[in-house]
Amino acid sequence: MKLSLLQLYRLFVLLAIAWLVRSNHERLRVEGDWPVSAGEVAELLPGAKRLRVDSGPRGGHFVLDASGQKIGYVVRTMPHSREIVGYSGPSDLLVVSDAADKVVGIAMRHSYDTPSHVDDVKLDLLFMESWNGRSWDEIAAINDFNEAEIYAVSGATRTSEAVRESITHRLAVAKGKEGVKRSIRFGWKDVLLLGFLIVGCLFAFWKNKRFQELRWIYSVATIGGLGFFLGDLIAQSLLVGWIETRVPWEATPGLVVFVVSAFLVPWFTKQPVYCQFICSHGNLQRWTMKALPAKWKKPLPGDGKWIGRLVPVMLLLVVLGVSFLQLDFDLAGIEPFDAYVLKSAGIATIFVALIGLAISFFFPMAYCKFGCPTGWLLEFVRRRGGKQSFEDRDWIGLILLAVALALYFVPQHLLLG
Amino acid sequence: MNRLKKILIRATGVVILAGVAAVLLSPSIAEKRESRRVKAMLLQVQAALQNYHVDEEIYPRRMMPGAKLIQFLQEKKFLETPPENPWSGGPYAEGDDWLRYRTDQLAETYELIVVYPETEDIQFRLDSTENQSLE
Repeated sequence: MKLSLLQLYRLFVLLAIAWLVRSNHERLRVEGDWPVSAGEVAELLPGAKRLRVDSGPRGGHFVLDASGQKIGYVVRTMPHSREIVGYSGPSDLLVVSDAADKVVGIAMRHSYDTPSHVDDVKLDLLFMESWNGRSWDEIAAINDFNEAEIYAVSGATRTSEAVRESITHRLAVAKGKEGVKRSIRFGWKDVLLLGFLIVGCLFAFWKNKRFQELRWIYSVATIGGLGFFLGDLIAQSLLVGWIETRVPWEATPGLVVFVVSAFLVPWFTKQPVYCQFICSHGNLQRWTMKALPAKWKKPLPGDGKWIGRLVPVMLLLVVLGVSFLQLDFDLAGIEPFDAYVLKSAGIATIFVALIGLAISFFFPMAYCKFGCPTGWLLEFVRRRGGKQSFEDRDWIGLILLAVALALYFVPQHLLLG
Repeated sequence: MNRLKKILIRATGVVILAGVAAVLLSPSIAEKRESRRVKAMLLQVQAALQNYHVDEEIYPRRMMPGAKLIQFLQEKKFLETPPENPWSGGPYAEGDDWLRYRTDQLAETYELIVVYPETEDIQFRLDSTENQSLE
């Protein structure tokens, strides 16, 4: 098997898992507690067979026909319009438009309002159909409903007023978001991070003896500067947060380049630059392992190593579970990296950091070898020398991808009851 | 024999790791499951309360715990199928639920409050004034 193919496979596995995590998060964000189904859209737009989440500012779904062709668009008004209350509560409406962006119908999905009033609105076809034929922009721009000839329903005035406000508000909110522009802010912290990255790369690639003698200074600097001062260590909580929401390339461009390089440099060059040279916790372990005489150190037996290498994999499975099921679980607690941010560190992350360091006195670099899920990912994509074959890590990567696919496709109510 | 021992040791290790993962995840999963069940129950009770209000033009006058409210709404025929108790998984019985119903002096407003078990910390609140949805 060619090296380049295997390397592409490894990158593909990581990107595919990241895509599934992001797509799942987008789906949950757009659908909320009451996911829109193609069936309810088909009642207003015949031919609707599938829905595809739109991660853009409109935050709805593209409606697709059986051949996958885009035939319309659908949004629900909740949760954006939850503050708009009728007689006794807000309503969740479906607004369906065709391929030309003209509304073909609205439907009441669920309402916290008084049921009899909601029924009055639903049965008033004049009201329900008064939206039809109008474009998204037209509806978003409505200020005076009477002028727009969308009249409230007699006998359910407050409920229908809330319904029409919910619709215009929901569409207007999306319009407002379309105009948001972002610009890059490059600050001194970004410069410092890139400095750590460049110097780390120099230590990895430039083997000048006199320069290498200075490595201990760099090691101390990463612990103090990168760890305790900046607190910008690559961690699962950071990666998952970025993947689920967005990469803040304009707010922290230095950190983005730093993280991307941590993956791409070993992928291209075989050098585990981040793990071996830059990571504060790795460097701290290098100092602790020098603290005790060599005779006190015990090598792990073969089976112990085999089991230990599965610890990061188990933690990555936990990370997938937390992300896909949106569990209330702080991922910072499974790694030691947040412990460097002394002001906000939780007990779990401090515990992991201290235990990891204590073990590394007797088993050198134990946390890096047998505990670090982020390190496992960086090692997974790293190119290796010699004859290449489909290794254990590649099988494990495939298992992680399979788990991510299962969590993505199995309906949440089957997993969560 | 050595091979069998090796397999046994490794299998035990995998089982222990699976157990650790389960220990890490199970409290959060249980919490999520319960919160989904509580939300579904709240929405069912809220709909029944709204229907009661349409007929009677006021909300039930007395403050009461969840079990009593559900029994009351059932007796008045506003709740055909009583919701399952999300905490016990069985039918509602007095003393084992964390739903509270409150109203004002004129019974013009309602509050449905769910507290975390064994505490007075509010988990969910649905009312007729400020918190009218769970989203």
